[in-house]
Amino acid sequence: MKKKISRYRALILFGIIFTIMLAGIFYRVYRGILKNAGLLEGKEETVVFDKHYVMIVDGSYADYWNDVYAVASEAAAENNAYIELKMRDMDSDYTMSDLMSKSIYSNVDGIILQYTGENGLDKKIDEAAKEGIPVVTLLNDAPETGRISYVGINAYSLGQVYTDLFAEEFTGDDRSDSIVFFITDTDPSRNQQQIFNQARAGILSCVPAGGHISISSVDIPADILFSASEVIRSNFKYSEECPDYVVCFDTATTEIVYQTLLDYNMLGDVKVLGYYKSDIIAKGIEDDNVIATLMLDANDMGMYAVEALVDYSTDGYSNAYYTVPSKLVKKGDPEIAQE
Amino acid sequence: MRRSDGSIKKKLTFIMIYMIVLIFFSNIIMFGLVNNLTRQLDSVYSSNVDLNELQEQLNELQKNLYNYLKVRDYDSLQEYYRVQQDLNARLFEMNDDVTGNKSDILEKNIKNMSYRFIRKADDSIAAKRGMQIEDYKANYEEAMNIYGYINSDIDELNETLLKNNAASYRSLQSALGILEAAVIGVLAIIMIFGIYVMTKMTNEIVAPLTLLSKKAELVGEGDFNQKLDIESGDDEIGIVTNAFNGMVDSLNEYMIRVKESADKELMMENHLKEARLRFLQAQINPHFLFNSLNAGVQLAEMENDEKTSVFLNRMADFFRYNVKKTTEDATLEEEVKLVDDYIYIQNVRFAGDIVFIKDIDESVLGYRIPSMILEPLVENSLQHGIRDDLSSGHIKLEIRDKKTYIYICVSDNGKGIDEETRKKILGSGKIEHDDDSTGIGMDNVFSRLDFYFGDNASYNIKSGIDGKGTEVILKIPKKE
Repeated sequence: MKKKISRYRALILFGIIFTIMLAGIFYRVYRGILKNAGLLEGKEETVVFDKHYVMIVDGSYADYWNDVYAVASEAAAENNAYIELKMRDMDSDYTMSDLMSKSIYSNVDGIILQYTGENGLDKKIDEAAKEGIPVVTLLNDAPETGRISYVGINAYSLGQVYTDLFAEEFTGDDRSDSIVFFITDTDPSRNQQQIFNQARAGILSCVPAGGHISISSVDIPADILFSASEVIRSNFKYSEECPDYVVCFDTATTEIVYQTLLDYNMLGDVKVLGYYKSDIIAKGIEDDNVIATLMLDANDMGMYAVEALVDYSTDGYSNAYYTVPSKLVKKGDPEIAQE
Repeated sequence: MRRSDGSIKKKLTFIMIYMIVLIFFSNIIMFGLVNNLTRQLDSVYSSNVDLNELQEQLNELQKNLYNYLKVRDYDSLQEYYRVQQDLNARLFEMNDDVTGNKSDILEKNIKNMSYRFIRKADDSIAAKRGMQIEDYKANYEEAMNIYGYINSDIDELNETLLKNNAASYRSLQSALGILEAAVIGVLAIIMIFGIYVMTKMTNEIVAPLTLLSKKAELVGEGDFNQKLDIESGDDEIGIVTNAFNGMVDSLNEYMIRVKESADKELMMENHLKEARLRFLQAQINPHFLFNSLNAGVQLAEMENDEKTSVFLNRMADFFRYNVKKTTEDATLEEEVKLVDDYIYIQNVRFAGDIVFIKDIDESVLGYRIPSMILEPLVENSLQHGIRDDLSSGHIKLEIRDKKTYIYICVSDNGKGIDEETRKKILGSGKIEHDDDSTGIGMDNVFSRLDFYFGDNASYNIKSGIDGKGTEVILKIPKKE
């Protein structure tokens, strides 16, 4: 009798366990299906940040800015902030100013802006400052605006980097070379012009006796992409004398120059000093047509940009200048070999 | 009838309810899951729908704003505020958390830009009302810029969501297919389990019944040594099993009793037959003798021979009693009278040498005993005890009231009885009878006493000192 009663109990127990197990298994399956379908993004699983920063950069520096963004994003997350990347696409109708406007209207907590000198951009920086949104400029400075900090190259030190390179190049006594700097930043008060001035002074000072070095600059309109290509091409095609060295201040210009030299079968005649890295630039370095490329430390760039915003947010002020180390990388250097 | 907790009805009800509940809950779980997934499937594109509705509201707001600014159309203004109210309600529900998710960020931006758009639109309406043409134009332009940004972001978010949702939809669809198979599998498992449990339970109920029917068949054929050895509980099967075993026991007991009773009856019948036979044989002589003796009595009276007349008269009484009382009981008094008659006859025969002593408590003479009890005992004492030595022998009849029973003792001082014969008589063994006796043996006397009184009567035969004399003692209940 006891055996029978215990068997009924066992049956009931089995039924309860079976039902609970079935519910448990099906619940896990259900969660698994939802997770697999990307429908399980409950608030408990989503990290909510305190601050929303925006990083507005130009697409022509895509590789570099992606590296900077990765570092900045990580640094921001450590400070409970999220950085939204707004990269101006080549085919987009939006200007950098538009992206600034969108950010301001979106009530973001801070803007990291690659300052390109675009018309109206200064006004947008001021507008953001007026709205209480701190702006940090990258690569090029806009000291006349309401930006809180600038993170980028020190014109003097970069000029010195170019000077050192050409000092190594000009080993003979009777050198007669011409160097052209393609400047995408046409505002004379801007960084590239300052770098050019510094480099020019430095290179001329180290020209050996009897040598004749011609250093000039060509302005490339940065905001008109395809015309930039035409300007570069015409510079080679119609110039009576091709330059021995071309110095570029952005990645896109470097690529256009390289491609133009390839098209006109001038590779080997003209040596290119590139700007940052891309597949084309890496190939140019490998072929010895790009003798070196300027590398700005993406890590420092990203870290300093976030540091400036966080400092401003917590203390109400931040450093006005953050200098990012730069160097010219040549064939065989680890930065290129990694590619 | 006892209703036990474990009745078959309850067992079957338990199993039925158990299976129904199990299937019910399993179905609830599986149905709930499939239902939820179906709802998820239906709502996959709901975010796109919401976004399109938002865009439509913004368009409507912009259209009414434009109409109002263009022609100061108050209907448009009214409609503008209505749409704005709906839009605000929708915007309130939108995400404003800063997460690492691109869609969330876009949604947050859309929300904030929409608020800014509404603000600028309100500003332009206010400027229009205030006739500040430059202001309302500037505000309207800015509002339209924002409107463009919002639409751009809505398109981007729509595209992002559409990609994600399409992937989710495909994933859910394939999961539903797998789930359907799983549901069928689980139902199949429950069904197999249910069939197993029900078959086992049914077998448990039916198996004892099958065994019971086989045993009942054997009992029906007369084999009462059939017992059900079933480990049954207190259900109907248990009750039937116990009842069956009890019935078989009762049948066995009854059969033994019937057999004993039949044996007893047969024996009694044999005794009666024997007694009747003897009496029939005896009746031939008594009737003839009885009539002859009556003729003799009349003759003796005619010749004035009183002694012969008395003798014949008592002879006649003796035989009359024999004829009348062979099948009836009699009072002790009648029995004593018969003994007196017998002694008288025998005294005439043996010239008055028989010494017969009576010690009788007359208060008990009215009680009844089987007829022909005392005379055979006295006759026995005479025939086997003192016949060879009548001069010194005597027979004594003692009847006493012992309150709860009547004590009767017939004793003599004759030659006695050997132990073997005594035991034989007491053990109802047959004793040879002499030809001149009345023909009723001691064994017959004792048997009839047994039949008449059952176990309430007792008797004994004792031998006297030095093997002389015999005592036959009867202890009989008082029967009116």
